[in-house]
Amino acid sequence: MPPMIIVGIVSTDREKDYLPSPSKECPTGGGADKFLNFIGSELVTYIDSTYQASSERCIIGHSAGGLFAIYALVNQPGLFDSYICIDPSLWYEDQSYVKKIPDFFNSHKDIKKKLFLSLSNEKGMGIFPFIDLLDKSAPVGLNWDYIHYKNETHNSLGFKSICAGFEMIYKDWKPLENSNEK
Amino acid sequence: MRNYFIVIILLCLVKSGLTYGQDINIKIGFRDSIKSEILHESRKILIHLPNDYNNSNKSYPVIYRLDGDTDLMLETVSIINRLTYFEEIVPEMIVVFIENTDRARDMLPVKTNFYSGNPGAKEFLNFIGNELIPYIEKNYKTTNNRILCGKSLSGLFTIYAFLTKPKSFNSYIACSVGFPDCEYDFKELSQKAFETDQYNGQKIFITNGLKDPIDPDGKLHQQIADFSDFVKVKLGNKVTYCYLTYENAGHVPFPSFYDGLKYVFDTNVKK
Repeated sequence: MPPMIIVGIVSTDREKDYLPSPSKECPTGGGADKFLNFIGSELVTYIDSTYQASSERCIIGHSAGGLFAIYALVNQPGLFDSYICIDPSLWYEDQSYVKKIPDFFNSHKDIKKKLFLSLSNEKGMGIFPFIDLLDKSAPVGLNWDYIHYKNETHNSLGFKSICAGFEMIYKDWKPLENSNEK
Repeated sequence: MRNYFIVIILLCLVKSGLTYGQDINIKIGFRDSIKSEILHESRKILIHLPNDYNNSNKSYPVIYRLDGDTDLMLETVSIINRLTYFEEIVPEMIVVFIENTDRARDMLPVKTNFYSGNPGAKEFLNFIGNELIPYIEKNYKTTNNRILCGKSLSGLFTIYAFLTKPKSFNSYIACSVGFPDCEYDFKELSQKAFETDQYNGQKIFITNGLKDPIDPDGKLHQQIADFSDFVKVKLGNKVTYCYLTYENAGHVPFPSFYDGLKYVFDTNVKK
Protein backbone atom coordinates (compact mmCIF):
# COMPACT_ATOMS: atom_id res chain seq x y z
CA MET A 1 0.00 0.00 0.00
CA PRO A 2 1.15 3.56 -0.50
CA PRO A 3 2.53 5.68 2.32
CA MET A 4 -0.26 7.89 3.62
CA ILE A 5 -1.17 10.80 5.80
CA ILE A 6 -3.28 9.87 8.84
CA VAL A 7 -5.60 12.36 10.45
CA GLY A 8 -6.98 11.25 13.81
CA ILE A 9 -10.06 13.23 14.77
CA VAL A 10 -10.15 13.60 18.54
CA SER A 11 -13.61 12.97 19.95
CA THR A 12 -15.46 15.40 22.14
CA ASP A 13 -18.78 13.55 22.23
CA ARG A 14 -18.76 10.36 20.17
CA GLU A 15 -22.49 9.74 20.35
CA LYS A 16 -23.35 13.27 19.37
CA ASP A 17 -20.97 13.26 16.40
CA TYR A 18 -21.45 9.74 15.07
CA LEU A 19 -25.13 9.01 15.56
CA PRO A 20 -27.55 10.49 13.03
CA SER A 21 -30.41 10.69 15.52
CA PRO A 22 -30.96 10.61 19.29
CA SER A 23 -32.38 7.52 20.93
CA LYS A 24 -33.36 6.35 24.39
CA GLU A 25 -29.89 4.86 25.00
CA CYS A 26 -28.03 7.72 23.36
CA PRO A 27 -29.94 10.94 24.00
CA THR A 28 -27.08 13.17 22.80
CA GLY A 29 -27.06 11.47 19.37
CA GLY A 30 -28.15 13.39 16.31
CA GLY A 31 -25.10 15.41 15.32
CA ALA A 32 -23.85 13.15 12.52
CA ASP A 33 -25.04 15.49 9.80
CA LYS A 34 -23.18 18.44 11.28
CA PHE A 35 -20.08 16.38 11.95
CA LEU A 36 -20.09 15.13 8.36
CA ASN A 37 -20.41 18.68 7.10
CA PHE A 38 -17.51 19.69 9.32
CA ILE A 39 -15.36 16.93 7.82
CA GLY A 40 -16.42 17.62 4.23
CA SER A 41 -16.45 21.40 4.23
CA GLU A 42 -13.83 22.30 6.81
CA LEU A 43 -11.49 19.48 7.80
CA VAL A 44 -10.80 17.96 4.38
CA THR A 45 -10.41 21.42 2.88
CA TYR A 46 -7.96 22.35 5.61
CA ILE A 47 -5.91 19.15 5.29
CA ASP A 48 -5.84 19.32 1.49
CA SER A 49 -4.65 22.90 1.48
CA THR A 50 -2.07 22.43 4.24
CA TYR A 51 -0.46 19.09 3.39
CA GLN A 52 0.66 17.25 0.27
CA ALA A 53 -2.53 15.22 0.13
CA SER A 54 -3.72 13.46 -3.02
CA SER A 55 -7.43 13.38 -3.76
CA GLU A 56 -7.76 9.82 -2.46
CA ARG A 57 -9.47 9.60 0.93
CA CYS A 58 -10.36 6.71 3.25
CA ILE A 59 -12.46 6.76 6.41
CA ILE A 60 -12.07 4.28 9.26
CA GLY A 61 -14.71 4.01 11.97
CA HIS A 62 -15.24 1.62 14.86
CA SER A 63 -18.62 0.81 16.44
CA ALA A 64 -20.71 4.01 16.29
CA GLY A 65 -17.89 5.38 14.12
CA GLY A 66 -18.54 2.52 11.69
CA LEU A 67 -22.19 3.50 11.48
CA PHE A 68 -21.04 7.06 10.81
CA ALA A 69 -18.82 5.85 7.95
CA ILE A 70 -21.85 4.21 6.31
CA TYR A 71 -23.84 7.38 6.96
CA ALA A 72 -21.06 9.32 5.19
CA LEU A 73 -21.24 6.98 2.20
CA VAL A 74 -24.97 7.48 1.84
CA ASN A 75 -25.09 11.22 2.53
CA GLN A 76 -21.86 12.52 0.99
CA PRO A 77 -20.78 9.77 -1.39
CA GLY A 78 -18.23 12.01 -3.06
CA LEU A 79 -16.18 12.54 0.08
CA PHE A 80 -14.36 9.21 0.53
CA ASP A 81 -13.06 6.55 -1.84
CA SER A 82 -12.83 3.74 0.68
CA TYR A 83 -14.47 2.77 3.96
CA ILE A 84 -13.30 0.49 6.76
CA CYS A 85 -16.16 -0.22 9.18
CA ILE A 86 -15.16 -2.12 12.33
CA ASP A 87 -18.10 -3.69 14.18
CA PRO A 88 -20.35 -0.90 12.91
CA SER A 89 -23.44 -0.23 15.06
CA LEU A 90 -25.86 -0.86 12.22
CA TRP A 91 -28.47 -2.07 14.73
CA TYR A 92 -28.99 1.53 15.80
CA GLU A 93 -32.57 2.76 15.79
CA ASP A 94 -33.97 -0.52 14.52
CA GLN A 95 -31.63 -0.62 11.50
CA SER A 96 -33.12 2.59 10.21
CA TYR A 97 -29.87 3.56 8.47
CA VAL A 98 -29.57 0.18 6.78
CA LYS A 99 -33.10 0.66 5.48
CA LYS A 100 -31.98 3.70 3.53
CA ILE A 101 -29.42 1.63 1.62
CA PRO A 102 -31.62 0.21 -1.20
CA ASP A 103 -32.68 3.71 -2.30
CA PHE A 104 -29.07 4.81 -2.21
CA PHE A 105 -27.94 1.88 -4.35
CA ASN A 106 -30.76 2.60 -6.84
CA SER A 107 -29.85 6.22 -7.23
CA HIS A 108 -26.06 5.69 -7.31
CA LYS A 109 -25.54 2.87 -9.76
CA ASP A 110 -22.27 4.29 -11.05
CA ILE A 111 -20.37 4.79 -7.79
CA LYS A 112 -16.82 3.46 -7.53
CA LYS A 113 -16.04 2.66 -3.88
CA LYS A 114 -14.28 0.14 -1.71
CA LEU A 115 -15.92 -1.00 1.49
CA PHE A 116 -14.54 -3.35 4.12
CA LEU A 117 -16.70 -4.56 7.00
CA SER A 118 -15.70 -6.61 10.00
CA LEU A 119 -17.65 -8.24 12.78
CA SER A 120 -16.36 -9.52 16.13
CA ASN A 121 -17.90 -12.15 18.39
CA GLU A 122 -20.81 -9.74 18.99
CA LYS A 123 -24.20 -10.97 17.94
CA GLY A 124 -24.36 -9.43 14.50
CA MET A 125 -24.39 -5.69 15.23
CA GLY A 126 -27.05 -5.51 12.53
CA ILE A 127 -24.47 -6.31 9.89
CA PHE A 128 -26.19 -9.33 8.35
CA PRO A 129 -29.15 -7.50 6.74
CA PHE A 130 -26.61 -5.05 5.29
CA ILE A 131 -24.46 -7.90 3.90
CA ASP A 132 -27.62 -9.31 2.38
CA LEU A 133 -28.32 -6.02 0.62
CA LEU A 134 -24.73 -5.80 -0.63
CA ASP A 135 -24.98 -9.34 -1.96
CA LYS A 136 -28.22 -8.71 -3.80
CA SER A 137 -28.09 -5.17 -4.98
CA ALA A 138 -24.70 -3.49 -4.55
CA PRO A 139 -23.74 -1.40 -7.60
CA VAL A 140 -21.04 -3.06 -9.73
CA GLY A 141 -18.50 -0.41 -8.80
CA LEU A 142 -18.95 -0.97 -5.07
CA ASN A 143 -16.13 -3.36 -4.30
CA TRP A 144 -16.80 -4.82 -0.84
CA ASP A 145 -15.61 -7.52 1.50
CA TYR A 146 -16.56 -8.75 4.94
CA ILE A 147 -14.75 -10.80 7.59
CA HIS A 148 -16.31 -12.28 10.69
CA TYR A 149 -13.62 -12.51 13.39
CA LYS A 150 -15.18 -15.02 15.74
CA ASN A 151 -12.14 -15.00 18.04
CA GLU A 152 -11.91 -11.22 18.43
CA THR A 153 -13.96 -9.03 20.73
CA HIS A 154 -15.61 -5.68 20.04
CA ASN A 155 -12.52 -3.98 21.45
CA SER A 156 -9.79 -6.19 20.02
CA LEU A 157 -10.83 -6.61 16.40
CA GLY A 158 -9.61 -3.21 15.22
CA PHE A 159 -6.08 -4.45 14.67
CA LYS A 160 -6.97 -7.22 12.24
CA SER A 161 -9.76 -5.24 10.58
CA ILE A 162 -7.56 -2.31 9.62
CA CYS A 163 -4.85 -4.66 8.40
CA ALA A 164 -7.29 -6.73 6.29
CA GLY A 165 -9.15 -3.61 5.18
CA PHE A 166 -6.02 -2.03 3.73
CA GLU A 167 -5.09 -5.36 2.16
CA MET A 168 -8.44 -5.40 0.41
CA ILE A 169 -8.42 -1.73 -0.59
CA TYR A 170 -4.89 -1.87 -2.00
CA LYS A 171 -5.06 -5.37 -3.43
CA ASP A 172 -4.20 -4.21 -6.94
CA TRP A 173 -1.98 -1.35 -5.89
CA LYS A 174 1.50 -1.24 -7.41
CA PRO A 175 4.14 1.32 -6.55
CA LEU A 176 4.62 3.84 -9.32
CA GLU A 177 8.02 3.71 -10.92
CA ASN A 178 9.85 6.97 -10.34
CA SER A 179 6.98 7.97 -8.12
CA ASN A 180 8.86 11.10 -7.11
CA GLU A 181 8.65 12.41 -10.62
CA LYS A 182 4.99 11.81 -11.25
CA MET B 1 23.39 2.04 31.53
CA ARG B 2 20.33 3.92 30.33
CA ASN B 3 21.47 6.13 27.55
CA TYR B 4 18.73 8.22 26.10
CA PHE B 5 15.05 8.17 25.34
CA ILE B 6 13.53 6.98 22.13
CA VAL B 7 10.82 9.30 21.08
CA ILE B 8 8.60 8.60 18.14
CA ILE B 9 7.03 11.60 16.56
CA LEU B 10 3.74 10.37 15.25
CA LEU B 11 1.91 13.00 13.33
CA CYS B 12 0.64 16.47 13.71
CA LEU B 13 -2.98 16.69 14.73
CA VAL B 14 -4.46 20.11 14.54
CA LYS B 15 -7.60 21.58 15.97
CA SER B 16 -7.06 25.11 14.81
CA GLY B 17 -4.43 27.25 13.18
CA LEU B 18 -3.07 28.17 16.58
CA THR B 19 -1.82 24.70 17.34
CA TYR B 20 -0.55 24.09 13.82
CA GLY B 21 2.28 21.63 13.65
CA GLN B 22 2.41 20.91 17.35
CA ASP B 23 4.46 17.70 17.64
CA ILE B 24 3.15 14.67 19.44
CA ASN B 25 5.84 12.95 21.46
CA ILE B 26 5.02 9.52 22.75
CA LYS B 27 7.62 7.72 24.77
CA ILE B 28 7.72 4.06 23.84
CA GLY B 29 10.92 3.12 25.62
CA PHE B 30 14.61 3.81 25.99
CA ARG B 31 17.97 2.53 24.85
CA ASP B 32 20.40 0.52 26.91
CA SER B 33 23.40 -1.67 26.19
CA ILE B 34 25.27 -4.59 27.65
CA LYS B 35 28.99 -5.31 27.39
CA SER B 36 28.95 -8.99 26.60
CA GLU B 37 31.97 -11.03 27.66
CA ILE B 38 30.56 -14.04 25.87
CA LEU B 39 30.27 -12.23 22.53
CA HIS B 40 33.22 -9.88 23.05
CA GLU B 41 31.13 -6.93 21.99
CA SER B 42 28.70 -4.38 23.30
CA ARG B 43 25.07 -5.22 22.48
CA LYS B 44 22.43 -2.57 22.13
CA ILE B 45 18.99 -3.22 23.48
CA LEU B 46 15.74 -1.25 23.44
CA ILE B 47 13.41 -1.56 26.41
CA HIS B 48 9.69 -0.87 26.69
CA LEU B 49 8.13 -0.72 30.15
CA PRO B 50 4.37 -0.89 30.77
CA ASN B 51 2.62 2.46 31.03
CA ASP B 52 1.96 2.17 34.76
CA TYR B 53 5.35 0.60 35.55
CA ASN B 54 6.62 3.35 37.84
CA ASN B 55 3.38 3.65 39.81
CA SER B 56 2.70 -0.01 40.37
CA ASN B 57 4.04 -2.71 42.68
CA LYS B 58 3.39 -5.30 40.02
CA SER B 59 5.93 -7.55 38.37
CA TYR B 60 5.65 -8.15 34.65
CA PRO B 61 6.33 -10.90 32.13
CA VAL B 62 9.20 -10.13 29.76
CA ILE B 63 9.14 -10.71 26.04
CA TYR B 64 12.49 -10.80 24.26
CA ARG B 65 12.23 -9.77 20.60
CA LEU B 66 15.03 -10.50 18.20
CA ASP B 67 15.92 -8.26 15.23
CA GLY B 68 15.16 -5.28 17.44
CA ASP B 69 14.87 -1.79 15.98
CA THR B 70 12.58 1.20 16.51
CA ASP B 71 10.16 0.12 13.74
CA LEU B 72 9.65 -3.27 15.36
CA MET B 73 9.35 -1.51 18.70
CA LEU B 74 6.56 0.79 17.51
CA GLU B 75 4.68 -2.14 15.95
CA THR B 76 5.10 -4.32 19.05
CA VAL B 77 4.05 -1.65 21.51
CA SER B 78 0.96 -0.82 19.39
CA ILE B 79 -0.08 -4.47 19.37
CA ILE B 80 0.44 -4.87 23.11
CA ASN B 81 -1.48 -1.65 23.77
CA ARG B 82 -4.35 -2.97 21.67
CA LEU B 83 -4.40 -6.32 23.46
CA THR B 84 -4.12 -4.87 26.96
CA TYR B 85 -6.73 -2.21 26.33
CA PHE B 86 -9.99 -2.67 28.20
CA GLU B 87 -10.17 -6.44 28.43
CA GLU B 88 -6.58 -7.44 29.16
CA ILE B 89 -6.49 -10.16 26.53
CA VAL B 90 -2.80 -10.18 27.38
CA PRO B 91 -1.24 -8.69 30.53
CA GLU B 92 0.97 -5.61 30.53
CA MET B 93 4.53 -6.69 29.85
CA ILE B 94 8.12 -5.55 29.54
CA VAL B 95 9.60 -5.87 26.06
CA VAL B 96 13.33 -6.17 25.43
CA PHE B 97 14.43 -5.70 21.82
CA ILE B 98 17.90 -6.98 20.92
CA GLU B 99 19.51 -5.09 18.06
CA ASN B 100 21.57 -7.01 15.53
CA THR B 101 25.26 -6.65 14.91
CA ASP B 102 25.88 -9.69 12.68
CA ARG B 103 22.47 -11.22 12.19
CA ALA B 104 23.34 -14.37 10.23
CA ARG B 105 26.22 -15.21 12.58
CA ASP B 106 24.01 -14.91 15.67
CA MET B 107 20.92 -16.67 14.34
CA LEU B 108 22.46 -19.70 12.62
CA PRO B 109 23.52 -22.66 14.72
CA VAL B 110 25.08 -24.68 11.87
CA LYS B 111 26.95 -24.13 8.61
CA THR B 112 24.67 -23.42 5.67
CA ASN B 113 25.27 -22.52 2.07
CA PHE B 114 24.02 -18.96 2.54
CA TYR B 115 26.40 -17.81 5.25
CA SER B 116 30.14 -18.25 4.86
CA GLY B 117 31.16 -17.24 8.40
CA ASN B 118 31.18 -19.38 11.51
CA PRO B 119 27.70 -19.97 12.93
CA GLY B 120 27.34 -18.35 16.35
CA ALA B 121 23.82 -19.13 17.59
CA LYS B 122 25.17 -21.11 20.53
CA GLU B 123 27.17 -18.14 21.84
CA PHE B 124 24.29 -15.74 21.15
CA LEU B 125 21.90 -17.96 23.11
CA ASN B 126 24.46 -18.13 25.93
CA PHE B 127 24.62 -14.35 25.91
CA ILE B 128 20.84 -14.14 26.22
CA GLY B 129 20.62 -16.79 28.95
CA ASN B 130 23.68 -15.87 31.02
CA GLU B 131 24.05 -12.14 30.54
CA LEU B 132 20.92 -10.48 29.17
CA ILE B 133 18.20 -12.26 31.16
CA PRO B 134 20.05 -11.92 34.51
CA TYR B 135 20.64 -8.23 33.77
CA ILE B 136 16.97 -7.59 32.97
CA GLU B 137 15.70 -9.58 35.95
CA LYS B 138 18.08 -7.82 38.33
CA ASN B 139 17.14 -4.33 37.17
CA TYR B 140 13.42 -4.58 36.47
CA LYS B 141 10.29 -5.86 38.18
CA THR B 142 9.90 -9.13 36.31
CA THR B 143 7.93 -12.30 36.84
CA ASN B 144 9.60 -15.52 35.79
CA ASN B 145 7.43 -15.69 32.68
CA ARG B 146 9.76 -15.20 29.71
CA ILE B 147 8.84 -15.24 26.05
CA LEU B 148 11.18 -15.34 23.06
CA CYS B 149 10.02 -14.10 19.66
CA GLY B 150 11.84 -14.16 16.34
CA LYS B 151 10.95 -13.85 12.67
CA SER B 152 12.47 -15.43 9.60
CA LEU B 153 16.14 -16.13 10.40
CA SER B 154 15.62 -15.15 14.04
CA GLY B 155 12.57 -17.43 14.02
CA LEU B 156 14.96 -20.25 13.18
CA PHE B 157 17.01 -19.15 16.18
CA THR B 158 13.83 -19.20 18.29
CA ILE B 159 13.26 -22.86 17.38
CA TYR B 160 16.93 -23.53 18.08
CA ALA B 161 16.45 -22.03 21.56
CA PHE B 162 13.35 -24.19 22.11
CA LEU B 163 15.43 -27.26 21.23
CA THR B 164 18.58 -26.48 23.18
CA LYS B 165 17.48 -24.22 26.07
CA PRO B 166 13.84 -25.15 26.68
CA LYS B 167 14.09 -23.98 30.27
CA SER B 168 15.19 -20.44 29.40
CA PHE B 169 11.74 -19.36 28.20
CA ASN B 170 8.17 -20.33 28.95
CA SER B 171 6.99 -19.54 25.43
CA TYR B 172 8.47 -19.36 21.96
CA ILE B 173 6.94 -17.43 19.04
CA ALA B 174 8.54 -17.99 15.62
CA CYS B 175 7.13 -16.19 12.56
CA SER B 176 7.92 -17.33 9.00
CA VAL B 177 10.33 -20.17 9.55
CA GLY B 178 11.76 -23.16 7.77
CA PHE B 179 15.02 -25.06 7.91
CA PRO B 180 16.82 -23.79 4.80
CA ASP B 181 19.83 -25.99 4.12
CA CYS B 182 19.73 -27.26 7.71
CA GLU B 183 16.74 -29.58 7.86
CA TYR B 184 18.85 -32.58 8.72
CA ASP B 185 20.67 -30.67 11.48
CA PHE B 186 17.39 -29.63 13.06
CA LYS B 187 16.04 -33.16 12.76
CA GLU B 188 19.06 -34.37 14.72
CA LEU B 189 18.75 -31.56 17.26
CA SER B 190 15.05 -32.32 17.77
CA GLN B 191 15.63 -36.03 18.20
CA LYS B 192 18.26 -35.39 20.84
CA ALA B 193 16.26 -32.68 22.59
CA PHE B 194 12.99 -34.60 22.80
CA GLU B 195 14.71 -37.53 24.53
CA THR B 196 15.42 -35.26 27.51
CA ASP B 197 12.98 -34.53 30.33
CA GLN B 198 13.13 -30.76 29.95
CA TYR B 199 9.75 -30.30 28.31
CA ASN B 200 6.98 -29.47 30.70
CA GLY B 201 4.40 -26.82 29.90
CA GLN B 202 6.23 -24.69 27.33
CA LYS B 203 4.16 -23.00 24.65
CA ILE B 204 5.30 -22.84 21.04
CA PHE B 205 3.60 -20.83 18.34
CA ILE B 206 4.93 -20.95 14.78
CA THR B 207 3.51 -19.21 11.69
CA ASN B 208 4.06 -19.12 7.96
CA GLY B 209 2.38 -17.26 5.11
CA LEU B 210 1.47 -19.64 2.30
CA LYS B 211 2.20 -17.00 -0.35
CA ASP B 212 5.70 -16.35 0.92
CA PRO B 213 7.88 -15.19 -1.98
CA ILE B 214 10.95 -16.79 -0.41
CA ASP B 215 9.13 -20.13 -0.27
CA PRO B 216 7.53 -20.41 -3.74
CA ASP B 217 7.38 -24.23 -3.74
CA GLY B 218 6.20 -24.56 -0.12
CA LYS B 219 9.32 -26.40 0.95
CA LEU B 220 9.88 -24.38 4.13
CA HIS B 221 6.22 -24.75 5.07
CA GLN B 222 6.48 -28.51 4.58
CA GLN B 223 9.57 -28.64 6.81
CA ILE B 224 7.66 -26.95 9.62
CA ALA B 225 4.61 -29.16 9.05
CA ASP B 226 6.92 -32.20 9.44
CA PHE B 227 8.55 -30.64 12.49
CA SER B 228 5.09 -30.04 13.98
CA ASP B 229 4.17 -33.70 13.49
CA PHE B 230 7.40 -34.72 15.15
CA VAL B 231 6.78 -32.43 18.15
CA LYS B 232 3.28 -33.87 18.56
CA VAL B 233 4.49 -37.46 18.39
CA LYS B 234 7.45 -36.97 20.70
CA LEU B 235 6.17 -34.42 23.22
CA GLY B 236 2.39 -34.79 23.03
CA ASN B 237 0.76 -32.97 25.92
CA LYS B 238 4.03 -32.00 27.54
CA VAL B 239 3.98 -28.79 25.50
CA THR B 240 1.26 -26.57 24.05
CA TYR B 241 1.97 -26.34 20.37
CA CYS B 242 0.44 -24.49 17.43
CA TYR B 243 1.52 -24.16 13.82
CA LEU B 244 -0.66 -21.53 12.14
CA THR B 245 -0.52 -20.72 8.43
CA TYR B 246 -2.02 -17.68 6.71
CA GLU B 247 -3.32 -18.59 3.30
CA ASN B 248 -2.93 -15.23 1.59
CA ALA B 249 0.03 -13.80 3.49
CA GLY B 250 3.62 -13.34 2.42
CA HIS B 251 6.81 -13.33 4.46
CA VAL B 252 6.29 -12.69 8.20
CA PRO B 253 2.48 -12.32 8.20
CA PHE B 254 1.57 -9.12 10.03
CA PRO B 255 -0.92 -10.76 12.47
CA SER B 256 1.67 -13.40 13.55
CA PHE B 257 2.83 -11.60 16.65
CA TYR B 258 -0.71 -10.55 17.59
CA ASP B 259 -2.00 -14.12 17.26
CA GLY B 260 1.11 -15.44 19.00
CA LEU B 261 0.57 -13.25 22.06
CA LYS B 262 -3.08 -14.28 22.23
CA TYR B 263 -2.05 -17.93 22.04
CA VAL B 264 0.61 -17.60 24.72
CA PHE B 265 -1.76 -15.79 27.09
CA ASP B 266 -4.75 -17.93 26.19
CA THR B 267 -5.86 -18.01 29.85
CA ASN B 268 -6.61 -14.28 29.69
CA VAL B 269 -9.07 -14.69 26.82
CA LYS B 270 -12.71 -14.80 27.87
CA LYS B 271 -14.21 -17.90 26.38
